[in-house]
Amino acid sequence: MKIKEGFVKRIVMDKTVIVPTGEAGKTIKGMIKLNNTASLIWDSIEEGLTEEETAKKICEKYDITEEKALADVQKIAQQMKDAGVFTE
Amino acid sequence: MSGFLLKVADTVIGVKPLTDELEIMVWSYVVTEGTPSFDVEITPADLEKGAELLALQRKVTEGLIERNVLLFHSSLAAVDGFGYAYAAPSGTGKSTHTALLRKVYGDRVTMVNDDKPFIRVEDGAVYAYGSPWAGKTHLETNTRVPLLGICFIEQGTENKISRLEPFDAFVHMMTQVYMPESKEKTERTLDLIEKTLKTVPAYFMTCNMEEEAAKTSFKAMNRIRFEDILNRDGELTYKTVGNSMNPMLYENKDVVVVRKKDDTPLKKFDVILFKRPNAPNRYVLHRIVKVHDGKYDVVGDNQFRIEKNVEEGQIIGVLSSFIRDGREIPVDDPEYQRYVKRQWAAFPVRSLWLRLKHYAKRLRG
Repeated sequence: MKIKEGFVKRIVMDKTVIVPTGEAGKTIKGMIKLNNTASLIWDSIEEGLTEEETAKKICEKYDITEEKALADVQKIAQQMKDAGVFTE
Repeated sequence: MSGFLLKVADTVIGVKPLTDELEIMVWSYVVTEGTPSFDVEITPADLEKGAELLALQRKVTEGLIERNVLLFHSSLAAVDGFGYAYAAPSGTGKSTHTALLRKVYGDRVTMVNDDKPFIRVEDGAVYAYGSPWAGKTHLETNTRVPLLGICFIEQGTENKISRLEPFDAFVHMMTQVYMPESKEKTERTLDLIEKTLKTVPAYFMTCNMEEEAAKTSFKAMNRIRFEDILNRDGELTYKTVGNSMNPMLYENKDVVVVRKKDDTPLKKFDVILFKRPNAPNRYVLHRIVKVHDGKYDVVGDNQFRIEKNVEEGQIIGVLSSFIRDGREIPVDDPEYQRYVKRQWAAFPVRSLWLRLKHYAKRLRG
């Protein structure tokens, strides 16, 4: 799973967001706000980690079980895919 | 085809056109002097995407991003020399709204650009500029105004305007700003949008496309104080009000450029912008005729009563130049200096004359 070409993460007015640029910017008008978990997932996917590896990272940071973390990762990844931000 | 120099957003650009017609289409922005900040060339490949004029706009816009300028799809009108941008997706009614502003406020309004003005954001100052690209209505003026407000509009039954949080304003503005191809330039553009919204208040308005709508939006956005603009931009440009400074400045005709007051000592004959303690919302622009013990005696060029003991703390700015008939005259201009001395030399006689006129008017009742 990877991030589609053109999407960048940045801080806008103290909030973390995903901004579509270039080609992506022509079809998607607007930005997506990321909470801390989503931001961590984004960074992990950008680094090339798998869903499982990402879930592990979340466990390291937050006090939740691996199953819960994996479920969160999969949920957010699916939302990103639906939004056209992530591809397989 | 020989090239020409184009000046937009205070930037000189070298243009190498494909046809002779291009220069004519942008003639009011063509200059004969200046060193180009960058150059653009129109190639046959560019024409495959559309008209030469639009190709030029795209290339100029891309070059200007490096120079802290962005292209904002909005109808930008200046009222009393202060710019207000009305932004919305095409067809929503931006131009209609600014047309209403013109209807309500008459010749106080100048159309800076009805379609895509340039916005420069630098050192905390935000300026809007006219350009040769003004959409279908071709309403534009080759001028620069400070941007005081951005209003995102939507059609509705009621006229309601409210402040937008900078983040929400960012989301709106992003969709109406030219986004470049490259990642670096896009990041730059996003930075500029953020900087703009940190300085310029943004509003969201539903409007019913009647005159009342224009009054509502203007009254909401018009709240800035001169001090705020001076702090932000370092200088303030506005149209003269009143005739206390005749014949140097005529009401609603001449434009003054005031520099923010700094540590430079003020001297006799400087024209200062100050406020009176009993009238905190009124600004006075008069000439210093005496400096004593750190206080200033001032009088308008067309007045007879000298206002004494204006204090340092009341002064917010100093006149640095004024614009008459399109010509900017700085205060160190020799002819202006001669006028100043003549005017002051004639003060005793003029003051007597004005005093007589004043009392005669009072007697007549």
